[in-house]
Amino acid sequence: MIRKDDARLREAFEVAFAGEPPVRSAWPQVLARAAAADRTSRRRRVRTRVFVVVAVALLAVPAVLLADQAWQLAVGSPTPPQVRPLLGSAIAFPTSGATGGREDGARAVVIARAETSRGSVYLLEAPTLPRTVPSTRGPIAIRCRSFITSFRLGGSGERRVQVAGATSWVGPGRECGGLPSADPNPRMPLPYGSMQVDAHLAVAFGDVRHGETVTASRIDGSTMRLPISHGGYLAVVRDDGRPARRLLSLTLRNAQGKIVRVERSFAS
Amino acid sequence: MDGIETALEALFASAFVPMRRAAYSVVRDWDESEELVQEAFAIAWARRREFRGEGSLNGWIWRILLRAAARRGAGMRRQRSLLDRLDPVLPPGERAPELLEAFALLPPRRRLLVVLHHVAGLTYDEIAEATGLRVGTVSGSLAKARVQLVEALQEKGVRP
Repeated sequence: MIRKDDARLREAFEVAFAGEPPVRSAWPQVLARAAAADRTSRRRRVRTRVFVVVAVALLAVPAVLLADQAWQLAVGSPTPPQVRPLLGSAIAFPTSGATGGREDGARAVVIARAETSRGSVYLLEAPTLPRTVPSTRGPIAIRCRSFITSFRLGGSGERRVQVAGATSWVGPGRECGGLPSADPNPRMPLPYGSMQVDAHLAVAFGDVRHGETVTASRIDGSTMRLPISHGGYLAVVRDDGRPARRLLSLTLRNAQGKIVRVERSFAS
Repeated sequence: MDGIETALEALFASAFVPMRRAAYSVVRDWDESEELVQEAFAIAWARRREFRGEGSLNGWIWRILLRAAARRGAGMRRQRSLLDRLDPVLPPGERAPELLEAFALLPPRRRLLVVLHHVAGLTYDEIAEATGLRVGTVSGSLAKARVQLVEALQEKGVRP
């Protein structure tokens, strides 16, 4: 019964569609249409990719520029206000036994800058806060010069300002660490080699690698390009705020080639 | 040429007329319905590598056609369900006025199933594949539609 009804209904619908126009389509038309759609979708995909790349670039480039530009400090300029309070708590020079005290952050200036593959790193110089130390002739006031090598900032846009690197104090007497010294401290051999520059060139190195060239700014404002023959020099702070497991070493030599100061620090 | 490519071409030859009829019932224009069937096959051709053979090729292409028809059709576009966006009609004319009338009395979803089964000749399984409905639902709905149509035609003195 159902089959009969179905057959009759089918016939009735056939009648309803009896006046339909003849078919004009052919298979090649379908293929041409598919090819055209394929070209269109390919163009759309390319456009989408271009759009994504442009959008990412538009979003990312300003962020990078802002982060970098904000901390492009010139040699001789004072340190940013956000950094000053941190200078006093910069990583202490671990093996010198220095007792020079805390830096006067307000008077810290950039004395050298190095452009590295990870951005700019700086060498700061600051006097320590004056303090009184006992001596056989009675208490004396001392003030040391402090070198804070290699600080790297996450950028002005970041909440946390990090200072990484090493602090050493120079000045007369052991209260200031006893530097400058011609003694490269034999108890602490340099595992990665050292960078040799002249005594008038103060350099802070970033996360440099073997084969790279670092451009260092001299105190007088001139620059010098230094090929890196030993990689892995410096303690820098990674973007996540954790210190890299790198060794800082900075060896300064005078014009005669004699080592006048070696600064080293293991990042904590 | 791959098997699926040959099968698509063969299906185009055999299923074009019923597909165009079904498309017509939704878009209500013969030229546009012809375009629609071409479009469905062009889409199927472009995506032929995606066809895994889990269902029938026929059901797959019908599903593509119904989706394309839903985008262009005169149905309720706001509806979420594909089927509820389709509102099929029969071609107007004097050939079968009683059938037109009886058909128009069916709910839209049932009308679509009637078109797919009685006009396009799809089996219950193929309809289920094309629409996403269960076979039992298709079967039940078509049984009700059949009864409704037969009764309506009989009331008008037409013996289907």
